[in-house]
Amino acid sequence: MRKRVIFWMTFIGGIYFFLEFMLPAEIWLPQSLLTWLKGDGTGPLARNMLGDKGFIFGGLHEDISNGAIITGVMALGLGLINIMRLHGVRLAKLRKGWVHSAGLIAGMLITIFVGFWHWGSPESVTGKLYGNIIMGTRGLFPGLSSAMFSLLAFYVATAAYRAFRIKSGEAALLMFSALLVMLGQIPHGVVFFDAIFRHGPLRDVSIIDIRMWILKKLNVGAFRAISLGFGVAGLAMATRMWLSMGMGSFFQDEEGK
Amino acid sequence: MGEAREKEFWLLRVDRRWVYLAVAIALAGPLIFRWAMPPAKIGTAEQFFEVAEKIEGGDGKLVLIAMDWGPGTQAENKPQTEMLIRHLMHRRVKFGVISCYVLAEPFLLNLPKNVAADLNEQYEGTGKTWEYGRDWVNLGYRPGWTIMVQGLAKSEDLHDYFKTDANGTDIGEIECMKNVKTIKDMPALGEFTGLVGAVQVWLQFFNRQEHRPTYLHGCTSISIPEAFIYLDSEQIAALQEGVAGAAYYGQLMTEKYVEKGLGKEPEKASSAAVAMTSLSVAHFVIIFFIAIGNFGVLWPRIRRRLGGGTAS
Amino acid sequence: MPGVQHASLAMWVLAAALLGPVFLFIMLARRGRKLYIRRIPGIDAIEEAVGRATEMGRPVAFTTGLSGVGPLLFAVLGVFGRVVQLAARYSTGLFVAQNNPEVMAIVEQVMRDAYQAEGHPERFDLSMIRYLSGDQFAYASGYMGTVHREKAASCLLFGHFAAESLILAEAGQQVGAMQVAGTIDSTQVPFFLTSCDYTIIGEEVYAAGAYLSRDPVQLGSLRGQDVGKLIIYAIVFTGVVIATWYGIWGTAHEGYDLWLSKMLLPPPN
Repeated sequence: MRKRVIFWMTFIGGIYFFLEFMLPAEIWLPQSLLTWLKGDGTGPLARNMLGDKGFIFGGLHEDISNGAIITGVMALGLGLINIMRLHGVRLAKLRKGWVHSAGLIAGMLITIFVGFWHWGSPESVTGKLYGNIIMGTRGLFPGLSSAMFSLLAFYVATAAYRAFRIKSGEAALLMFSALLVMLGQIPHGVVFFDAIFRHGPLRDVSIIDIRMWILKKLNVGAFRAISLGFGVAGLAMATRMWLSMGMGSFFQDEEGK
Repeated sequence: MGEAREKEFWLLRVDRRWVYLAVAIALAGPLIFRWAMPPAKIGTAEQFFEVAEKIEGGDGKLVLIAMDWGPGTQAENKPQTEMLIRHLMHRRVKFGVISCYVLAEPFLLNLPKNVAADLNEQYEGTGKTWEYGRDWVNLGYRPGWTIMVQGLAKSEDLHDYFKTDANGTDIGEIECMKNVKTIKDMPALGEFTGLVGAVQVWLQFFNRQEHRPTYLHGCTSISIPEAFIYLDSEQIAALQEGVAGAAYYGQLMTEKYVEKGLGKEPEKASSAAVAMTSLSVAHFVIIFFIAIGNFGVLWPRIRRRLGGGTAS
Repeated sequence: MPGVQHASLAMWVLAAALLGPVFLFIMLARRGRKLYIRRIPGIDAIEEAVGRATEMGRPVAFTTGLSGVGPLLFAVLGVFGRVVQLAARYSTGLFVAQNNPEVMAIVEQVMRDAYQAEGHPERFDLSMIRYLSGDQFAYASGYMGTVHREKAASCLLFGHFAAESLILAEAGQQVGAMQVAGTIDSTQVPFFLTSCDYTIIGEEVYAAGAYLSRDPVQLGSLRGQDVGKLIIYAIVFTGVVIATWYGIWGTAHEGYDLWLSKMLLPPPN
């Protein structure tokens, strides 16, 4: 029973968006039928779903989309419940690390409170707290986010030092092409390349053009192939999800059927 | 048990904290001392500039700029977005800023405002001014990604779709939005993002059968190889490649709109050039460490061949 | 280039051509036909990773990255289910870092079912699932801290990843964990290749569920996808031949005026 309910809900939920794309904008109807359905033209069917030539399947698309967005936003509550369950219990029972849990919960509650109250004036206390301290361009949150992102610069350097070793012909080719691409986009690289190859057969060749050739001719084909591959796989998987085919234990009843 | 294997050559065992220190110095130096080299001549940035020069403006036309980036990628996406906004403001093409990413909210508010303030200061006394409502609108953060973009493209009345701007003002009361009713009134879309999948959402859904806006895309450096597949197939008309693209675009802007006596030299236009110089120095530091790592692999082999014994 | 708002006839044909083989091979697989699937080293390493954690007495860290509810998540759940099954069987510590509340609910159900199926429902603890943050870098920061504090012996990263991928992978590197990563995000694959022991690229992630479970439906779908790709190659090859022909003996523009070329795009209104 449960599996059947899930199947039909999934199918009905998915079929709208599938048909909305696959069917034409207006599905032709005989004029007499169209006129009869329209009536005096004031009803919701006439206003949203009937055009000059026929039936508009996506006439209520905006309303359906808004409903889908609202449903998705409600999932935020699930995250809140998990945080309170995990960190609230740790705080209540004063387990190891309770201070950090207290900080997390306090920060979360302050941000929620200020986020709601800042709908008022940006000049109000909560407005300034939100705009200047928490979320502004020089606020806490953007600053912390930028700091975490900046770690990548250091990690890229150590990862490159650790992993980029020429152990085979392919590795050498890969490293050489990576070097050309790197040098072709930085001012020092252009100066460096021009200085070395100023007199010689490559004097009229620009490292910028070499970089563009690698990106346009070599790279595009490889990326497109990978994209096509997982595009087809994604299509097949999405269709199976929609039709609830072989989706594993989450959709099975106790007998595993 | 004796030694199971040779000890690794010392060049292969450099403590990662030395690497961190070298990178930190390489990045910080140009930023602190404001060193700026002329940027590399990026062809795609030149193409971006030419496409932006041809965007149709006028009453009833609005370019949509999707700022789907946040504090994490602001180092690359902010100069890109700023250059396009500056370009459109110079050309008096009206635009709206929007985002599907909640952390973009402060940038949606402040970036156009700061560019306008800078231009107002440059052109003070000439009668040229830029103001919110007349020259741009902040449509704010709109949740929903695919569904929102799809709804935006299909909407027959954008006033009803958006209802208000980010400040709560009725859309109908905003001067630049008055005659903008559908996506057909949007000649171009500027999508700037560091998020995975964002550009695909706009490419797939922000169009109608009878109208496809001109797509301009600004991406982070990591996404350049992926963005090229759309540029190659002409789904994207122009691409800004990370901060390198922004730096060269800034130079083109300076040549066109500053050196011809149309305003004072904008200091902010060089922030991308400074960032690019900083990255450039860091690139060489990374190449240096890769080189010593590979030298560390090769040197013991060379020594063994020459009969030098085991490496230390 | 016109926009695409509704499907053209050619898109219907293409959808049928890509999905037809999928359904055909699912039907054949259900009827008992044996379908070959090549070995994927990264998937074989998952059992080794869980075994390593069991021996060392340290937990396994699993994360679905920035995945939302979608086809990729369901592919990843095939791998995740197997990991949880092994963890339940051998009483291995496990924590699952989460970025998305909707995904978290699904993951919780999969874990409950797996522990139940192994006959150890009492070993399941809700605190194994840690919702860290919906923000990308707050989540990365939380993951780093958790891996360092818990000293994970194995890190399994499957799903959608963006810029935080290297941060996550380096966290596991720094604690000496064995790492297996799988993602369809081509731009993040190089970072995983440098920091992880095994990396599963692109559609191998979709194949992983079929590989582990040997479920006929999943195997049939996998085989059908391969046939779908052959169809795409045939279309690409046809386009290359047409473009080359007209490039040499005509003008490139004529190639785009062919009925075959025009079929793929919907007619303007």
